[in-house]
Amino acid sequence: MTVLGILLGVFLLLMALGVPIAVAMGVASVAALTIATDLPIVAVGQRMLVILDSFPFLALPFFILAGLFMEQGGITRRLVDFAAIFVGRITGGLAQVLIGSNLVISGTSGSAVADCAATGTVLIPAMAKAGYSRAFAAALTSAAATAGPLIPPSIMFVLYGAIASVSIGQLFIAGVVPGLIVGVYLSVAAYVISKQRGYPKLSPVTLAEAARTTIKAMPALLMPIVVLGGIIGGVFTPTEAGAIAAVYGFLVSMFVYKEMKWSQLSGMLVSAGVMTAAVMLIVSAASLFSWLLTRERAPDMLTGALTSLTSNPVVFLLLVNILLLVLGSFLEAVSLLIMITPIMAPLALAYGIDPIHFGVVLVLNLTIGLNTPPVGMNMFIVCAISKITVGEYTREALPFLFALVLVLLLITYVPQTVLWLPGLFPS
Amino acid sequence: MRAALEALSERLNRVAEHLLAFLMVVTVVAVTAQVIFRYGVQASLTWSEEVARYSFIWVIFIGTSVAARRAQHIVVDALLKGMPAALQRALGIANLLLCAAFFGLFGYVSILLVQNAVPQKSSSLEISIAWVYVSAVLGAALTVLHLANALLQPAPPEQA
Repeated sequence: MTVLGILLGVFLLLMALGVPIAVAMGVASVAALTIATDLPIVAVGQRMLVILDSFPFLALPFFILAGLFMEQGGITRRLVDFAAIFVGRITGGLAQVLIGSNLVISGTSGSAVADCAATGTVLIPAMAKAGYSRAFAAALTSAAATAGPLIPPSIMFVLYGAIASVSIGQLFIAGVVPGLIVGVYLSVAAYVISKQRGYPKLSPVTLAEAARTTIKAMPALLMPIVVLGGIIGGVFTPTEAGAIAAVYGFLVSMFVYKEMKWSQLSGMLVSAGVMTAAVMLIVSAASLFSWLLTRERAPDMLTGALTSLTSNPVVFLLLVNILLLVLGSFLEAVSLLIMITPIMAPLALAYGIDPIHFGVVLVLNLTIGLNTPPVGMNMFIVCAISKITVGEYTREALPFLFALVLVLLLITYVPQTVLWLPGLFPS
Repeated sequence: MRAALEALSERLNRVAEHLLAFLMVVTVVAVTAQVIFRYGVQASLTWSEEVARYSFIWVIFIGTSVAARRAQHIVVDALLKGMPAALQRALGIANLLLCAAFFGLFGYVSILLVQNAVPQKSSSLEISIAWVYVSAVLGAALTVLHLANALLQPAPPEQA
């Protein structure tokens, strides 16, 4: 019991005081281990190192790198132009372009925050110029990026799959339908608002123009097809798909789009390495932390307490939804995913919930938190890009948050929306 | 003293960044080669996965030190931002000290692990596992150096 108290108390206190999350977990674990157990201190190093020797986690730096390459290659602009061909003629055309291009871009970067920054810098100024309210553009950008982690490749699915020992390939396939549902719901919400406010359509494009734009966007559009197709076809593992995507992204940006220079390569490799390290250090410290929790039988106690409270998986999922929406508005999504997966995944199993279904629910749940005040990460990014206050953002974000929560409830309580597609491609 | 430490931290970090870029290339190339050989040459590589896994561990610890130098480790600063500036500074210093102490301990423990690992050989390359774990010692040492440097710099210290 003392171990539990020290672990949670020290961790929460240090994290609140701005200590890096990984260090807060590490220090809490060291304190608990030395004060309340007779385990040797060397166990700290063993636990932190052993989790890192993993082929599935290796997909993380690869997809980060692929995303950086594609972004540098000017993929955002080309996909925006491409999306305009299909949805530009709808009322509020640019709003629809924003949603559409986010769905496609999320197939290359794997991170909601990256998508948000990428499309936001291009489209928020364009929308403001076309007469949209800045706050509306910002709120929609943030919400549309929520589809990112659902559509493969997805860094969050890599982390969940590697930590919970669930097939990352199956998770990738399972995320597709929910990602598209998010797109449709947001699209409807944006259409209704655009109609009310009389936001403009885009001018029509000629067939020749459309063809040119499509050809230009083709190399970028092929990336998600290669990744997902290769995994579904059993050609390669998700980690191998990541390496292929990184090489592909590099070749496209360097030799097809020619927007990347050799001199930039080293800096991008370092950025990807640093991002990888920042996430994996948390994975490493969380492994030590949750090992100590498990030694104290904390997950068992939690399972016991919860199952005695309710044996109904629907109620359990509702509790998870609420808990994560609250936590997600205070904590960054990837770190939170790493922290809760070791505890939540066994709980879901105890309730007989499919681990693939649970993973997708968890990820959407957490990414919605990126949009919600007070501290959603995407919210800050779009507020900075569009120079609006959190208050202005919040007013415009409410309809989209409502749409996102509806999707969350749909995929939570209708597991078929998640499990139907992977069921067609058994691994 | 201050200037010398900053110069040392800066120079070693530059070397670490070159190493990090090189290691990233090694992981990508090893895994890509694995796929190409399987389908192109119809011969499975036996060493590629091990090379990729081990250079990934090197990426993590060298990257950790670079992240410390750039103050890019992931923090929750919502509460901190609302505090008075003097308190923020004091907490920032305490924060750096705590991080340095943690990485110091982690580095020390890693040395013990390296010593234990010397006789253990990896399964396909048959190199000593100590070569893998030594990345943790090196990464921790560099991190402590960067944190100490940040502590001594006159500008209000950023969080690590």
